Amino acid sequence: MTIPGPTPVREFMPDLPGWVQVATYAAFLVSAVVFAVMLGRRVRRSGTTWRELGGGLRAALRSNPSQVLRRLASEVLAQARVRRNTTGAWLHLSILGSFAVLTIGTGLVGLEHDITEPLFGFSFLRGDFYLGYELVLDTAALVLAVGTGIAMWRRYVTRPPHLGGRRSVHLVYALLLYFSVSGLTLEALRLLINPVPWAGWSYVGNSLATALQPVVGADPLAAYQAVWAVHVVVVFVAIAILPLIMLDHIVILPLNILLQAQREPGKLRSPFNLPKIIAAEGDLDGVTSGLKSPADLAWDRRFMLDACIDCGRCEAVCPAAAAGRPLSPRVLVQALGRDLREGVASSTAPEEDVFLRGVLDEAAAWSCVQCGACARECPALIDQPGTIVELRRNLVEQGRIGERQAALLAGLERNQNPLGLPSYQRADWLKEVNVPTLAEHPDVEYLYWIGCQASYDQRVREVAKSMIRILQHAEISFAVLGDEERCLGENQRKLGDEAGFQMRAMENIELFHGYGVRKILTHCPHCLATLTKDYPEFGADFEVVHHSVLLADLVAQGKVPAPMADDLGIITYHDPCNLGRLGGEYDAPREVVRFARGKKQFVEIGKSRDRAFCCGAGGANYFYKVEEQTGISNLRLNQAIETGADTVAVACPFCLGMLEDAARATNADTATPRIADLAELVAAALPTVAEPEAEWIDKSSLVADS
Amino acid sequence: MRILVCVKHVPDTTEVRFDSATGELKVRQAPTKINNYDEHALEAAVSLRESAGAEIVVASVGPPEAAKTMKAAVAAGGDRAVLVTGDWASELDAAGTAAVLAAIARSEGPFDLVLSGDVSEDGYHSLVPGLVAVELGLPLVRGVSELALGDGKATVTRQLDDVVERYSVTLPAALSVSSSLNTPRTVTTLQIMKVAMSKVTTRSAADVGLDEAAFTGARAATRVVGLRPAAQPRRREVITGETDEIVKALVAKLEEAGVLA
Amino acid sequence: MTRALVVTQPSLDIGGLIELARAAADEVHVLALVEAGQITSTEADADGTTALTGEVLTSPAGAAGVITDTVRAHSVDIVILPSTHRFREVTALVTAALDAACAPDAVAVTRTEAGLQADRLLYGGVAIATVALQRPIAVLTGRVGQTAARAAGSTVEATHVQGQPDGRRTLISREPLAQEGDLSSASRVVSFGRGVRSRDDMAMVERLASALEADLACSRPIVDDLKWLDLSHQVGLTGTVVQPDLYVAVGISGQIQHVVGMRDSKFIVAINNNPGAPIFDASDLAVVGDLYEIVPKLADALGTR
Repeated sequence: MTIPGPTPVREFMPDLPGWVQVATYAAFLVSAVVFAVMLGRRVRRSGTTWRELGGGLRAALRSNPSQVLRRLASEVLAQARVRRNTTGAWLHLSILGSFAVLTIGTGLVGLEHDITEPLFGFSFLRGDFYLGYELVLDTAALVLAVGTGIAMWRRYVTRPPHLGGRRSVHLVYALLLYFSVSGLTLEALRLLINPVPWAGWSYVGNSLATALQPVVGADPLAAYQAVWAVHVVVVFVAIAILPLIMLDHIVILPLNILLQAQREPGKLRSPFNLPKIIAAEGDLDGVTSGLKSPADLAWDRRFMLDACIDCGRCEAVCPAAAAGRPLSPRVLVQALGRDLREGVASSTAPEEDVFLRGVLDEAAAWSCVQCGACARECPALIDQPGTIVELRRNLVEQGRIGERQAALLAGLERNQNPLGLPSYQRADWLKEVNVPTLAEHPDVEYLYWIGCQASYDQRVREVAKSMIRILQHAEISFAVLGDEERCLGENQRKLGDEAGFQMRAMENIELFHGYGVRKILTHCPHCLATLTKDYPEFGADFEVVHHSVLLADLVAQGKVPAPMADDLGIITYHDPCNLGRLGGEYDAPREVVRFARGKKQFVEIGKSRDRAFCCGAGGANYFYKVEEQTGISNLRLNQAIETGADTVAVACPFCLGMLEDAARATNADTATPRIADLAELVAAALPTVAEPEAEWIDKSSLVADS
Repeated sequence: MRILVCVKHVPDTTEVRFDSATGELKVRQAPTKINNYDEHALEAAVSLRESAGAEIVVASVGPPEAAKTMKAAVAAGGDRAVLVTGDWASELDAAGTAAVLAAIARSEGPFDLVLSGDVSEDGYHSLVPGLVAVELGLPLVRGVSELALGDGKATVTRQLDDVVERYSVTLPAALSVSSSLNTPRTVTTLQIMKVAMSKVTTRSAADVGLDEAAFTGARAATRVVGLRPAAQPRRREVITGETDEIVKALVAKLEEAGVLA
Repeated sequence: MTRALVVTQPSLDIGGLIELARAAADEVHVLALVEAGQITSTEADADGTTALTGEVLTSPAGAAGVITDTVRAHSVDIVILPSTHRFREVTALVTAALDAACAPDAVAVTRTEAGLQADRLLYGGVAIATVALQRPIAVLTGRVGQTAARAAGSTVEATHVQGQPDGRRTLISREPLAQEGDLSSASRVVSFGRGVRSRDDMAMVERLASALEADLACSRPIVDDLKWLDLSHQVGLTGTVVQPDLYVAVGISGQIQHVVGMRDSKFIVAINNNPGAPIFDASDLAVVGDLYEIVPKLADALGTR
């Protein structure tokens, strides 16, 4: 639109003496240098050097640039994880967005004045663009204040229990409010000094000008210069100290995101590769397992732990914390970070580990169910579950483990199953079912992996039996290992007996290779995760299929019938951590139950898909007890009950056991849903195998026809 | 102070079974380990070393595979291990075992204390500690559940069927320990793998001054000449369901079986 | 003519040992080692009973010495001792002194052309081994029961034996174990294991035991690891072997080492919430359910019978 009168332009530092411009740039330079120095201190706080950091960033960008950059864009620009919490999303996007706009906006003024105009004779802050610019900036300033207001409301009024936060957060609120108010005040004063016809586009400033008129009407210039001076000082000081306050996350978090971007969910790092060492006949002298103190970690893990901003989103989703266990991922990472900084500052390596020095409680390490919810939420991409396993490894090597954990490890070592039952009893039940073994039929498509739970637990065996019926009905080519099957070693790895796990892996991979196994079918997400995430490092190269995926395929192709809706009633599905959040498979299991014939209703549990709440069995917790106020499985069952579902479909033997146990423990007057595995639901719809009636043919009638 | 801990390399009894097809007792295929009761003895030796300082030598006689158990014993705290081995050593009876262990004690000794577990998981003879003690001329107390050393004496507590006894035994002495003495530390695979093979010495019978022909085969005191499965026919009737139903069914069946008072 | 010597002490029921002796030898003599103040009577099924007393018998080495002397003096071919904790040391010492062939915990013995053979359990009770005893003198041990004074024959005078106990080993104290009776002779036993989660919950099991008029027992972890009860309550290979009419296993998984201690019970009931628990294979009634629900209700139901 055209406005009568002079063209709208943005004046650069109007109403200020010329020397101020030079001084401002000089001060900016100083501030930037101080910022760089402070940033250096911030980086070195975790014992990291610029060279290491630079090297790490280069390596990350070189190895898989598209993945890394996509991750960066997703987390930093699109604020993906931040947006997972509604209040957090509103406040952070407001603050970040508006601040970005304001910074760019201010930057554009400098850009025009110092670069485009003198060098190219080009100015752009004029005309309609400029009017829009003013509108946007004013709105941004308003949004900044509103966003800060939401943050303050949450922190001071609502006070959610998980919310951590460093001391400097109060200063930051003050700064943000100040920038908003001060910036708008400056604009208002400018408009008072030089009223312009297009003032209405700076609607906030304009209104403020009207309000300020009676106050400073006499000498708005003096007021302007004073406010401006303070504003500039505050801005430059803020820039300089940015790395020292919680705003350091502006730089540190994107750096950590770049470094951690390629980390696979649920994949643990190996402290050594035993099979390789054995093959090379290397000696094991320098080989250690486990984390004693954060100072022992490699620089990138130290940097990672130190990046924690204490936001508490991990604690908010942690099932152990919800159950009243002595674990909060936030507290754990913060404690390690503090210990790390103290260690770096004092530059003496502590003799005793973090538990003996009282930095952490051993119970915290054992309370973790390795569900990965914390890592999924963390905007800084910190690896809490991996760190906890590394802590456990140290405890295991020191023998500081509970009796049940010791019995579990001993049972795994001797009998190669976590139940400590004789290995030869594993396949006894297979005599009841007519299943081919791999030894007899090596050239099948799938190795159907039964797993320890189905082998020894009668209830879980029903899942395997159902699956076998389905496979036979659909005429899928498969075989089982029978009594050659041994535990994959997941519990050894999760408990921290890394060498024990690697020996198991080595033996199993050799067994699989011996049979030329290509595809493995399993109904257990823990086995799935172990085979797909932990085994490849030791030579495994199999395609592993979870039964839910195969079932969805078979149902879609009509090779097996869909589950009977009438039997299911209202049905919901509980995402197993190892299949869903850590495995990325949410849809196939849902398709299996959605296909149900007849009237049915599928409802989602509030916390589902990648927000699903663990059943409590993971991290080997199924095999030992931790002190807690409410059982994790009880909490989850209640969440399922709240949906009003009649049936809870599961896709994991541990979830099955935990939820059924929780249902049994519920008092008699609460109706509990039926818990059933997907395979059981599908198998129930299969036609029952009846002995075909022998057909009696009257031969006499045939003769006549022929 | 020098302590000899005698350990046995045994098959894991939970893994030993009869092959229903061939009727063969599958002992060879069972994983092997250190006898659980000997682990308590080793732990006791380590505790004594922690409080009073001692050299701990672990002794055993067994097949060559027992070297792995010796490594585990060193990982659990032994300073070094001596294994007398040979093909003859896998079917040694209690008397033969004791003869070899005593010979090791003599060749590596003298020792202030000879410790072992009360009994071995596979044979359950509970003879070897006593036979070794007699061979070495040492006083023996078995079933030790508490142990303290001082003044050239061991003060021990042990439980019999109906009494608790405390003894003072002059050193050198032989003690065999019960599993209530302590909780053995867990030894991880990594720790075992890190034990240098130089810490485990293997010897032949001749190296310790014995001729294995004198106590094996037909010249052994006892010899296993037959093995059969221990029969176990049980009804295995399953009762499950609602608690009240279960209780009702149970009471009825107990009455039916005539086992109620 | 082979001669067996059955060694005992007063108040042991050695019927089983006599049986072994009869299967192994032609003549059976009983030697009772008597402490001051104890009385022993003649064994009905034996060809003779001798009683010895004296300070020397208070130490295993002394007792073993006396037994060994008796064996040599009377050309005994087979020595049979009780397989109790108290006699274990003596057994080893006697075996060593006589350079005998020893088969502890023999369940049966047969005479063959080649000599004596004894049957005993191996590998935690999985297998029965037949062991050839290849020395001139054989030593066996066998299961005994505890009895109150047996209505047997006449009192036997105990002869005093000279000798000093081994000075290197001095008894400081001996205290009786507070006992509710001896498990090995109980006719009904209620036994619990790790399925019982806390010490306080023991009371619930005790209530069931009294409702059944049964003795209370437990599995090894309760004694060794948790120390809620002492050794006298432990059933299993390293505890007491029981053979009651009724054995109720509450929250016991049933590893073979425990099962061996109770597998000779007439009727076995197991309560466990894990349907795959090995105890069920050894049971007549396999009750799959939560013991915390079942045990109190069962105690109630039995109480009102």
